[in-house]
This record gives sequence, C-alpha cells and structure tokens, in this order.
Amino acid sequence: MGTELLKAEWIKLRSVRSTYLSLAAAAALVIIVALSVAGTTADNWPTMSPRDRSSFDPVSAPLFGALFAQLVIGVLAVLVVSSEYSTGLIRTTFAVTPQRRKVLLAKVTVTTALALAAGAVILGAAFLLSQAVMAHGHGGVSLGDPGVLRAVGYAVLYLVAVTVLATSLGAILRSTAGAIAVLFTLVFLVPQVLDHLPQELRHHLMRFGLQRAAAAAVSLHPQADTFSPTVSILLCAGYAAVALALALFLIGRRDA
Amino acid sequence: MIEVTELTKRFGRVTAVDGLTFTVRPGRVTGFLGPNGSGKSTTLRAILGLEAPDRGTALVGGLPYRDLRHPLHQVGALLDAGAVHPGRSARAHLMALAVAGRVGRRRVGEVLEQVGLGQVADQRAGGFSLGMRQRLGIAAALLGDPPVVMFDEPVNGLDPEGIRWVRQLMKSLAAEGRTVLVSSHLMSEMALTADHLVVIGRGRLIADTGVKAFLAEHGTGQVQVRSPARGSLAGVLREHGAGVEYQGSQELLVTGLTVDRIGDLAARNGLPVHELAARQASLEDVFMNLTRDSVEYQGMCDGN
Repeated sequence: MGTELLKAEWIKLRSVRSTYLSLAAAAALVIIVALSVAGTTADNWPTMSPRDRSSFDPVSAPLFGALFAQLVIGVLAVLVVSSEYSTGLIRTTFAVTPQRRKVLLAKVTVTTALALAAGAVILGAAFLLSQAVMAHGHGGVSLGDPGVLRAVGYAVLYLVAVTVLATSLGAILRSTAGAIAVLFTLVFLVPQVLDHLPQELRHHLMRFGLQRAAAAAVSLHPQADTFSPTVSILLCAGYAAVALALALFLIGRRDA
Repeated sequence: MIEVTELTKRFGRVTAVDGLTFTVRPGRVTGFLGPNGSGKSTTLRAILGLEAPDRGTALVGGLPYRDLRHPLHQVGALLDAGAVHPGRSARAHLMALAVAGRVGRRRVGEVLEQVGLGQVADQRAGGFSLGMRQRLGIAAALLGDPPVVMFDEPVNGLDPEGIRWVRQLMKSLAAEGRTVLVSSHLMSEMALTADHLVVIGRGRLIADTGVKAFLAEHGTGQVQVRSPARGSLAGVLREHGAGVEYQGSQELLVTGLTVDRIGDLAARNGLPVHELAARQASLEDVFMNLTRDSVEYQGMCDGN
C-alpha cells in the first residue's frame, strides 16, 4: 500500500469536525466515569466487606466508561466509510484509486491508528487518574502489579478491534444507519439474547459474546464461564478479522 | 480518446445500457445526450470502472480504466456535485484527492482559483450552493491536468454566468486538444457547447454525428406560410406534392416544397402571401422526436 493513500485518508479524517467531537466525547465519558467510580470506591472502601473488596476489579471497574466510548469511536469508524457512500464521494475516491482493497485498507489503518493513539491516551489517563483517587489501601493498584498492565493494554486493544469491526461494517453495509445498527446489535443485543438461553447453553455460549469477551480480556479476576484474558482479546480480534475479510471480499465485487 | 464497444449493463431485469458503441475523439466537445434515465450516468460510471459491464468494454486511451497507472493524471470526471463531505472544506477535499492521486499539492490552489472558489476554499462544502459544488466538482476533475475529461450534467444548478463559464471551459479544454465528454438531458445546452453529439435513449445509440449534420439529417425542412387565402393556396400546394398542415387562423405549415417554389406558385395563381419563412427545426424538437419512444417516464416529459 502506498503511503499516499494513508496520507489522503488522514487528511480526510482530520478535516472533519466530527472526528474531534467524537474523540472529545469518548474522552469525557471515560474520564468522568473513571473519576466517579474511583471516588465512590475510595469513600466506601473502609466499610466494604472483605468479600466485596476482593471481588472489586480495580482496572475494569473504573474503565467502565469504555463501554460507551467504544460506541462513540465505533460510530466515527463506521462514518469513515459510510459517509462516502451516502454522499457519493466513494465514486470519486474509487475513480482516483481503482484498487478498492487498498483504499479500504488505508481507511482501516488510519482509523485504527487514531483509535489506538486516542485509546492509549484516554484509557491510560483514566487509569492513572482513578488509581490516584483510590490510592493504595483504598482499592488502587499500580501498572507494576500482576496483570494490571495487560488489562489496561487489552482495554486499548479492544477499542482497536471495535474500530476495525466498525470500519468494516461501514464497507459491508454501505449505510451509516445499517452499520451502526449491526454494531450495536453485536455489542449489546447479542449478549442480551445469549443471556436468555437455557442455563447449560448460556454457560457455554456467553463467553463468545463480544461484550463478554471484552470484559474478560480486561478483568483481573477471570470468571469460570469466560475464556482467559488473552484468548478473549484474540476472540475480539477474530470478530474484527472476519468483518474485515468480508468487507475486502465484497468491496471489489460490487458496483460503486 | 474514449472507446465504448458493445457496452451492456443490466440492473436486475432493467437493461440500463444496451449494446452501446461510440468513440469520443480529442479536440472537440462531444455532447452525450439522452433523456433522464437513458443510461448516460451508467455509461460514464462504466467508463470509470465503477460499474462492471455485463458485456462489452470501455477503454480510455486504449486501456480499461482499472489498468490506468495514475488515473487522476489521465481522466478527470465530475459525476455528482453532491459528492462532497458537507463538513470538509473545499481545499481539504481537493487535497485528499490530490494526495491519493499523486498530484502536486500546488495544483489544489490553482484549480480552486480556476473555478472561482479561491475566496471560499477554506469554508465547509456543506454551506455551498449547488452551483459552487458544481465548480468544486469541476475543480476535482481538472486536478490532474488530464487529457480526458468527463462531466455529468455540469450546468445543473448554475446561474447564467456560471453556465456561460462552463461552456467556455469545455470549449477551451477541447481547443487544447483534450477529449471532452459532456452529458446533458438538455439539447439546447448541447447545441451551444458541443461539436459532436452522441444521442442515446433507453441505453441504445440513437445518433453519433456532428451537430450540423444532425440537424441537416433530422431537420424537417418545413416552411411557414401566412396567407388570407390559405384555403386556395393549400389546394395549389397539394397539387404540387406538398404536405400541408393548418395552423392558427391564417397559417400553413408546408413540407416538401422550398420557399422559392411556394412563392412562385402563389404568384402564378394570384394568391396573396403575407409571410413566407423557412422554419429550421430546433435541435430540441429533433431531440424530442428522436427520443420520444425512449423516454422512461412519458408523463414527466409531456409535462415539460
């Protein structure tokens, strides 16, 4: 892939206001949630039971806001492709670069790089701020503690996986509304449906849900019915990879 | 040069383009004419490799579009003036295209000035009028200084000054030796701009000819005659093999005889004539006649 396509996509991404608004909204959501969870936990820590203390997850609990941030970033990623279809700009784009797969890969690469950078900054800041509020002795941990760096890193990687998934959905569905609907379904609705399965099936299938896998990837205390953090993050990457492969397959075969 | 050969494109059961063959040569403006829905845009998209034809080929400079090395340097196209992200400035829009197409960034400022958008280059395109968007689309088509340009309905939404500007631009591009293909559903517009016409209806070729030849071939050669004694005159003319049609209260529309002959016949028979004029069928009339059968939505056309 030539760097000119990456540069062109970067120009597109940074020349629309929605990019900045999305990142600001994601940052605000994550940090506000992190501070409020950390504040509440620090206040309650002295009166919490030992059982509650041990089940408290000092990484994933304050990073709960990432649940919403992923949708904000996901919508941004969908729009990177779908807005070109809705305006007709995609025809100009493909006329300039008939190698459509390269165009899509450039879009995915640039969007994902932005999500990686923004995710690392936002989630890193939220982690440090929340640990500062809780401090050691009030449920706080440091990056050096066992599993903590991995959990924060996987939270960032999950955001990256959602970005690849969302960009691919934009290319597969070619419509903003359609792609966002499918993204929300995968993230929120599928786990809901799995949750209502009979006990035995539910026990085996829940772990395959995207949201459940994300939670397991970031968790310091793996549950019995989930995969290990590393398998879970690979599962999330699998969702993204399947969507990207389908998008790459379809984009060259359809009329623009 | 653009060469379209036996091009066929179906959408489900609708055949949008049906065995279309024509060549667009450099150095002149070729008007691509047809009623709305006749397959013009589909043809242009097929030339640009955006839609895969079911049959046939479309070559630009002898190559299928997808095989062009740096397409922006070879072909410039305006397809749809609305095809701009409303939140992006004109300059950023062109900059992204220039970078992707390996065109120097310097060209962006040049084409913005050329189309008259220099003053608003940094404003969001969402606030542009349709005419300004047309200009932006034309700027994009000119970015790579290409030898082949295609414009789909470029005067839509332009004010009279803008329309004149587009005509001048097309002509000067052709005069520079470029291949210029301009689609329109307005015959009158093409009569002023084009040197050559490719006329299609329902995806099929109706005519591929020069504007003058087109008129000569399809002009009906009617003569309008105003006479207070038109009943007698009509009888005389019919005797000499003319087709005569009554119009208004005093007029006749005569076919098959020249102006001179009609005047002579009237004088010989002592019949007064107040007006005698050869009526040149307008390109619009010819176009309407030719494409009447191929208009997709007859009702809409009758309304015009």
